Amino acid sequence: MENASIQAATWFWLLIPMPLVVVLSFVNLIVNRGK
Amino acid sequence: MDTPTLTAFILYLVILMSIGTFFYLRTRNLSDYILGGRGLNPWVTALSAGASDMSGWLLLGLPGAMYAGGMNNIWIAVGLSLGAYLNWQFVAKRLRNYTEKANDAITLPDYLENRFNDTTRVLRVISAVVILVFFTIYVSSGLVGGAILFEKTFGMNYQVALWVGALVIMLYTFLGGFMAVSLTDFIQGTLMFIALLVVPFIVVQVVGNWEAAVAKVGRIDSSHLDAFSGMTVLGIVSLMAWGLGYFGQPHILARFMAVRSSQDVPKAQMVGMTWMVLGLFGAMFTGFFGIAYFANAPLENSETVFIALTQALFNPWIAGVLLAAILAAIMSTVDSQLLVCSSAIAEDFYKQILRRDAPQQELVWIGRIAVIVLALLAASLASDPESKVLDLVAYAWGGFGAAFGPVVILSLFWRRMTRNGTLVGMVVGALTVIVWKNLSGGIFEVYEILPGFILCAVCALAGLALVFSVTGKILQ
Repeated sequence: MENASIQAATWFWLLIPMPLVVVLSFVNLIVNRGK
Repeated sequence: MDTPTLTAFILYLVILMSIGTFFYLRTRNLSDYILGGRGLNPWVTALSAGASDMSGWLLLGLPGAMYAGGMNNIWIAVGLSLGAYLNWQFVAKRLRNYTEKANDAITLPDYLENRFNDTTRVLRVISAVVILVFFTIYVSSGLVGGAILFEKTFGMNYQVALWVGALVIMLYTFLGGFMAVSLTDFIQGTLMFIALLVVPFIVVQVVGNWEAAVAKVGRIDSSHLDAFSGMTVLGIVSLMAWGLGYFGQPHILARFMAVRSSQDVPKAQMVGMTWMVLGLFGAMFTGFFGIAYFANAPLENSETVFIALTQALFNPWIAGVLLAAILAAIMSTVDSQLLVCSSAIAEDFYKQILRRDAPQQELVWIGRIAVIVLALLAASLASDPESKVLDLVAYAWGGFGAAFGPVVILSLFWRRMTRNGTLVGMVVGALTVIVWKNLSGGIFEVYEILPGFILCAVCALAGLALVFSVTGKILQ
């Protein structure tokens, strides 16, 4: 892989999945509100 | 010895001891001591689940691994975040409800026994044995972390540092039980969180700015910027498999059982996941930017990078508070684990096998004595100064994940699961981890949790469950 694409993949894996689970937890909180 | 740092430390310990003593005076029965009578609000549940999960590993092990190897360590953090999310999403609420319905179970062995209507007590005793074996290793990892902290901060001898830390932790778990542990976990979780955000932020300011700091790390070694450097697919899967461990950690599951109401779970999940993800980012970037900061004078022990940065960047008073966060991280994990062990001994061995009609006060005292004996055993295991926090944590984490993870998930979601399937799965999972850990080379380089988890699940699910097809009591 090109150097630039390796670094892009690195930042992707670092910066996408972890914030995503926080967003999903927030969605879950909204969906379950009042249940 | 640095007086302001020491003063901050001592002040912090005095606060913890006061909380312990307060709850000591209010503890009347074993359920109070072990679960705090199921009264945790969502904020305390979330932060105490997080703080008891993220031991000294978060402030010593993970920054150390990032400092030594760079970005190729992100996979553990990604795997853990996904695992923790799935655990909150699918296990927390069901476990809270099931344990209450399963004759008000207050421990994992208690829950398993009631779930499968096991009158032979085999399930309870075997799961308690697994708990005692792996928690002794886990607690010893915490004590190693404490020893490194006292050694580096106050220049103590390793052995003296180890016993001072062990004594402090023992004393306040002994006193307070679950409410004290959960409340102090909340305070400690907050302190850890602040420390993990402040330290990398200040390092970046000192080095220049974000781009300059990243570029400097790249100039030192470009592979530090590459998450795939030196990694195989199996290696990445192996690191991400840390996330599987969540489903079987008794000290984290105990927090789910103790939440005030299952309706509080989504809020606790939100708070817990935010805390965890920001904390993991903080820990990773502390180690990562430590590479830039210590470019000219690399550290001898990579696991001391958080301590070294704190001492280099802050005035001794603030450093004292930030370093107390390491102690917070270690204590908040070790105390919860000692508490689960004490419940295993008091509730699962003493009450079930030796004295069924033991009065509550007697059980509380048996639990307290168990805390002391186990802490002493763990301290003697930790007495080798070459011990690494990360290695010991990995072993215990893998043991629990493989022995209990599939069992907990299946028992909550699969009506037809049987007692014998559970029993065989648990034993096979634990033994696989122990055997795999002691073999090396080739396939055995894969983290032992992965084969252990799979084999446990297969045994619980398939053949053996069918052979002994005694359907357990189903709770809905």
